[in-house]
Amino acid sequence: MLCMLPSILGTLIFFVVPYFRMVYYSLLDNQFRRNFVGLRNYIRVVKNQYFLLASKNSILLILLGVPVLVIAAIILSLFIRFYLEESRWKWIRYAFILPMFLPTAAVSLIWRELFSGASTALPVYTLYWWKNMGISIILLVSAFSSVNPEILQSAKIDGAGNIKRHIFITLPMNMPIIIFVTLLGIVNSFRIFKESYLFYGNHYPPDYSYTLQYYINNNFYKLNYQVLSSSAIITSLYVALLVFAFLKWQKRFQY
Amino acid sequence: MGLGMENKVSVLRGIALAAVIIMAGVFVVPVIMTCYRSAGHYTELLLDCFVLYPMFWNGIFYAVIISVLQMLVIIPCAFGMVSCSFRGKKVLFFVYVMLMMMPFQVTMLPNYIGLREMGLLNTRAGIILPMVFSPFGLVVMYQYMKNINTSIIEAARLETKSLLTVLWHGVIPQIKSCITAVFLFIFAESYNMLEQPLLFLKEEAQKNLTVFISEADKYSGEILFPAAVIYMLPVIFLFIFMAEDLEKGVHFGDF
Amino acid sequence: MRGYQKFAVVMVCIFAVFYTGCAKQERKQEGPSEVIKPETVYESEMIASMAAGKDKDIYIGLYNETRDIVHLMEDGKSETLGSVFPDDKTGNHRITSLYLDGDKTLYIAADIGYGSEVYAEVYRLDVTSKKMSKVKTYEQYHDINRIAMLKGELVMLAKSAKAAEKEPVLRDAFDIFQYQGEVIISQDGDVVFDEFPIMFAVMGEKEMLLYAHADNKGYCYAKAEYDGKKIELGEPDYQNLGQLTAMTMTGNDTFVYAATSFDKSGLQEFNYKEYTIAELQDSWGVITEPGDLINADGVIYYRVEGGVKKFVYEQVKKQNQTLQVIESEQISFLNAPYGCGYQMKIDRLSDDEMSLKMLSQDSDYDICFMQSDDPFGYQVKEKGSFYPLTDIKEVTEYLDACFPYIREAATDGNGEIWMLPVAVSADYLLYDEEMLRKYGIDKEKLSTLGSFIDTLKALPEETRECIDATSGCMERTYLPGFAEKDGFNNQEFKKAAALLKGIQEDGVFAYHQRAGDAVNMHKQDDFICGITMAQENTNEAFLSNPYVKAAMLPAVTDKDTFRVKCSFICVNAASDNLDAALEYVKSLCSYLMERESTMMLKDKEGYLDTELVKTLYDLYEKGTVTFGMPEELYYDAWEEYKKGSIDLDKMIEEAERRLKIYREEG
Repeated sequence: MLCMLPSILGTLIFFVVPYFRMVYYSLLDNQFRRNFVGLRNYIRVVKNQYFLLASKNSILLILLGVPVLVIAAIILSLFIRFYLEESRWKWIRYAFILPMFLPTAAVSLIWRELFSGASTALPVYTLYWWKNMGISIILLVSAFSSVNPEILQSAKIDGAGNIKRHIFITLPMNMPIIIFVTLLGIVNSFRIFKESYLFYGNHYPPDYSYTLQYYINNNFYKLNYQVLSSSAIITSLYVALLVFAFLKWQKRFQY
Repeated sequence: MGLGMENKVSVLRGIALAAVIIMAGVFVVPVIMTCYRSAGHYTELLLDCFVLYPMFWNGIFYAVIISVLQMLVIIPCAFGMVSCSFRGKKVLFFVYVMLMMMPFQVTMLPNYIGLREMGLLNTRAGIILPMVFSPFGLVVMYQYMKNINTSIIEAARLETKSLLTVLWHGVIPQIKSCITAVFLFIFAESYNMLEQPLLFLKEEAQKNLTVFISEADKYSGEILFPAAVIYMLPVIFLFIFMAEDLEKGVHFGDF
Repeated sequence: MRGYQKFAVVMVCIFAVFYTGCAKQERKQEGPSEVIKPETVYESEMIASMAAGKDKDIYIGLYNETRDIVHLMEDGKSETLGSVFPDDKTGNHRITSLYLDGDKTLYIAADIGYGSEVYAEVYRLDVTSKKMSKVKTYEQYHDINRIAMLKGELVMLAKSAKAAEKEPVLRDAFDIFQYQGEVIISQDGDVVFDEFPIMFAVMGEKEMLLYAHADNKGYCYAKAEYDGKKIELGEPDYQNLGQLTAMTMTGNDTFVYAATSFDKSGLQEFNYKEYTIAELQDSWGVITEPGDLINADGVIYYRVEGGVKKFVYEQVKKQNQTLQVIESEQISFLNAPYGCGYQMKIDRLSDDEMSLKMLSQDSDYDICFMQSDDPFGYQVKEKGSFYPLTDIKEVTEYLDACFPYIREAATDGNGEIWMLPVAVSADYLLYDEEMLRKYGIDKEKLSTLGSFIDTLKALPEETRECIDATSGCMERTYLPGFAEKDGFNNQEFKKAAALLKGIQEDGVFAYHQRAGDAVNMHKQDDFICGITMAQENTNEAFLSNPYVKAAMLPAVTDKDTFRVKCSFICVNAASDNLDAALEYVKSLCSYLMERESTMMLKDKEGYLDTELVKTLYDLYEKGTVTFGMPEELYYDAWEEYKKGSIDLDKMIEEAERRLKIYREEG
């Protein structure tokens, strides 16, 4: 209906058109000479060892960081929602969301002091978990609150232990929001660039922290828009694949 | 046996509670460190950096306007997506999710060109409009809306043809806490905008506080921290304000 | 959805896509232009002041023995109006300022006496009858260097010993105000304005534009009215135009001035409605001590070393021609090139903004000004973000007149000329042969880094102040060379690194004020040798000394070459104002060819005939232009190595790793 028009229009103009523009640019050889070269840029990018390194690191961040985040968030949310609801520690959930409000520059400075001797990508991972835990907990707690308490009561009466209760009732009922939290985690894993850059202080971090954004950013300064756009599109394609696979997998939990 | 079990359980619970409290403490440590390091530099910040004040209000202005406008845009759109079914709905939704994933580095250039051609560069509208149509809000709102009680909608439809009334009386009361939640996310996201004001605006007075903080070492190294504290305050206030609404909880629809 | 609604949505979407997807471009046509050279009107080394009349005749006061006033008439003839002070037997009168009122009355201000007993007198000379009479003696003032007639009275800018005791408050690091006691006085000798005036220009019967310095707020200008007793200031506008030494109005909102300024010199014109500055004459030879500048009915007269020159304002000032220049925030050693009459609006951009502007092919900038040690310059060449200058005759002429390696650097892989080099600079070893002999230093020992360091360390302690080779400067000179050529993983670098680390705490390689001043500020005797990139034409003392010479830096490898840094401009192919930009390039080429001795031109005739310049010429003749690598590739690792936190091998490993990423990621 027409009520959808403003949103679709806006998204079209400000997001879809730029995306296709980017696709167009990725098919050229050079921003300034504009010769059409088809898929040559994509092949070049895929063969580039640093693109592969960057992809590996980014995917690793998703595959390692996101599950840990989601599982920890679920455990914490369950605990907060069901055991702290009546106690005076209810406000603790808000302590977790505080990190989201702190600006990047301040955080990076502090992180530098805390992790000055790190030799793995741990600082970046902890930064990621620290920043995103709050939002996940808020969302999950809010969703868990909507579970009908009668169902849980009846399960208790039936003799199900606490943990079992939650695994088989609460979680499946809230699968959509868990999926959403996972998706959000994936999206935010791409947004961790600025913090990481300020932490390392330069554009060439150690190999284990060299993610896709560094690759893209460095090529931006080299006026290499072709590499930038092809790698961005490749990234969007395999993220799309990931999301698609994930959605299909969770259909098993539909009820 | 019953008594012993209960003791064990409460001990376990006690340990778990302590663990959560410690975790929360750890989460809050950087925030406390920021506050601590900001002491003593407030006069320097508040009296010497005049540019802080317009930037602060700009940040709030952008966040409020973007959040409000986005609400106005996505509620009808989500409602439309829920009420009508048309071919390609799933595809449309998938496209929205994909667009949500794009990091800014990548879309920066086409966005810049688009804004330039529309004459919106160096204007506030050029910052506000793209964010108003950001797909994130729509995705979340759509999920929430999927689970509303359609019978109320039907009843409202019988009463009046006006879409506005249907929305106002039928839909909105049901999703009040969703609106709060989404409003908060979008507010936080727009308040944290960094690259857009930095690159798309020329005049310092139009930029927001995040930009000020990222450039804080132009003035003096230490005013970063008091600026960060001031930066956090509005969002924390807003959050405290709206925290109750969040607790009501709403069921998220399936994907 | 109902049918027509679907249709409406689709149509609107299509329209939106097309509207946002199509680019718009406009081009403006500008007329041709060339560099107008000013004419020399009068030559003399002894000019004290000048005044001009409506009939385009000029009066020039000399400080020769007879204190002549020369009257130059329009037709080129000149007559001397005889010495001004016939009763002056002691030769104590020195002309400080002239002012022509109407056509016939010339006011002359002169200083009498010296030191703390100096005072001023003003005389009136009737030009036709050549009769002189004294107007007044001003015991408390001296050095009147500006006279004007407002409301029928004389108003003068003079210096007062008493006022000189006031200390002004400077605004910031760019505020170079120096107060010598300037005040504005009336004919009767009363002070009518004493709040740090600097210079003024007459705007009308009783109005003037006054440039002054306000305590703590810095340089400002304001319209001012003289009511017979005091000067009433209008609303001041704060603009740092530098320490103005002369100014004259050229229009309702514009004035031309000469100033000693932080970044510009020469004759500029400031438009205070639009806040734009246009360069009318470059700094070459323009006097920036209190000199005279006169706008006589559209002809601008100004003083240069050795004479007076003039040019027609309308011909030089390109009306409404502004060029938008972008420069990187990393520009360090030179200012934007001379404007050739165009208004150059300069924007300093960060790396992000530069990349964005270039990649998006912004049409709102015309010229990009960069330096060869900025890695961005290299990208511009590689990616083709420029308008090729190959077909412009003046450019090829100019490049042919330059050293061959400069032309090569300006040509890209496809044979197109992608930039116009405007200046060069290089690090070299500067030494004084006589001083070397005095301390028994063998020049050969200075030719390799190891022996250079050892030799200097072995010198007696009292010579330390005469050496200008700081450890920081040496690092910044040598390290980029390795990054640009063979990398760090070789014997030469290991040797050089050990040497450079070893001089960190050594007092010989710390900063020495005396030697630094000697190089930069014309002092002569306190200098043995040093590593510098001072331009040869800044130090007159060195120029006149036949023993001061230049040589290549102490070598670290046996393949060392003379590395030259070049600053250049590129024209934006997508610019709105492309024709004007190209005309500017042509003008700039002719200007650069006239400049001579820029260390880029082959023709030896243009260079000064001194030892220093000759040796520099030999060095520059065989130089190479190198394009820089980002410092962050190796500098962090180097700092860590210096501190001792990592050893040399780790430093090399890290720097090489980053170099590899830089080279291969794109």
